Amino acid sequence: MSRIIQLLQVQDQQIVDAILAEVTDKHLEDAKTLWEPILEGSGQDDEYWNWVGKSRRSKLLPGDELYAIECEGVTQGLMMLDVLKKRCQIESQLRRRLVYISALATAPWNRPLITNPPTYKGVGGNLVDFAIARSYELGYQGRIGLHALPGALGFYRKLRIGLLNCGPDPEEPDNLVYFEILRIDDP
Amino acid sequence: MTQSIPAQPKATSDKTTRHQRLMELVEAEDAANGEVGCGRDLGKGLSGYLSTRGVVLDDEELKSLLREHLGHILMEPDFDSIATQIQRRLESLVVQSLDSASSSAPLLDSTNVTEHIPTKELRKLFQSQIADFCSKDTLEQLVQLSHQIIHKAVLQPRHTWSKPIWVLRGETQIYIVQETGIEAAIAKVKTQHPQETGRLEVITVGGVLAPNQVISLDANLL
Repeated sequence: MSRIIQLLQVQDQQIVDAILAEVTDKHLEDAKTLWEPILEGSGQDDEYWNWVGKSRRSKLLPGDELYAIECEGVTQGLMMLDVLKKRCQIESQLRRRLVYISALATAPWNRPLITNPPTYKGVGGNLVDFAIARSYELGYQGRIGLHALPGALGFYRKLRIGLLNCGPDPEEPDNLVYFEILRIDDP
Repeated sequence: MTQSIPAQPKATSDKTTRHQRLMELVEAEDAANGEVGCGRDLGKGLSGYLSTRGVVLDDEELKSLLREHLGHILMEPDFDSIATQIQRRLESLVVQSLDSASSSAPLLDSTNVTEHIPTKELRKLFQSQIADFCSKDTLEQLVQLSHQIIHKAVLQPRHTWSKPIWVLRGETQIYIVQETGIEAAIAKVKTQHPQETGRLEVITVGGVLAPNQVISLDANLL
């Protein structure tokens, strides 16, 4: 099963269709053979992420799901969700269920710091919007949570989805900033 | 694992709306120069290790043990936090990267730590789950660290934390309010500042991840 989403193709400023779907071996192969060689030595926060390993680990843990965005036959973004094990942190919705984004990355050629101009824009945002849709589908009222990588704070602050900045998480080894969607319209 | 892909909401099926949303996403992406990543950087060693082995503690068994011994003092949010911290310590230990720079908040001096759960029971739980992956020494270290994590939680259970501090922005003012929830915080602002009739936006909230948490605000907000 998959859904069609839109990305901005930077070169000609055209909006193009892409596919968001569950991760397949092909997506993981792309991450290994196309992403990793570019990320190696780049100093990017996800330089050492191993999506094949994440996928393998997700099969051991209940509630872990992996998704990919594919455009022109190439993997443009990957995301791992935990839909079961994490709970809300904000006092007014403490311990309610949420969809936690365990990992999200866009392909290295979509990052201006590596490839300028980038190939596509909108990959990360579409993945986050999907996590919210998944949260609604599960009855979690759109609540999601995530720990933003240091360079991406501006992105999560500007997404216009009600993500609340809860500050650096002292339980995280790198003190990453935790964001959570606050819902106040519960019955 | 399989799951269905959520259908696209009707509202977003409209082409214009979709394009508008895409432009918002692009704007957000541009604000961070294309950096959109989230998730822990596990480091080269751990990532490689987990790709072949997979070190995972069963949260539920650990929480069950915690409930049994500490259910009268602590609550579920405390058990969540303890389980998360122990799992992270385990990961750190596995890659021999437990040092002050990479670890979370400093733990207590082990000489002052009360063993709220008998060492024997903790060791048995860990042995049953991770003995295949860890040396005996690592397992013992994890037991000691777990005692410290649990003791720290007992000293400051979540229900004893102060109310969170909400930072709200109105049209011309920024308000800092200590209240349990956002609705109560907004109500307090409106009561004490009746001239504030507009929409209030939450900028950040402090004190939900740890007690006595310092709030940091972007200087250009002020």
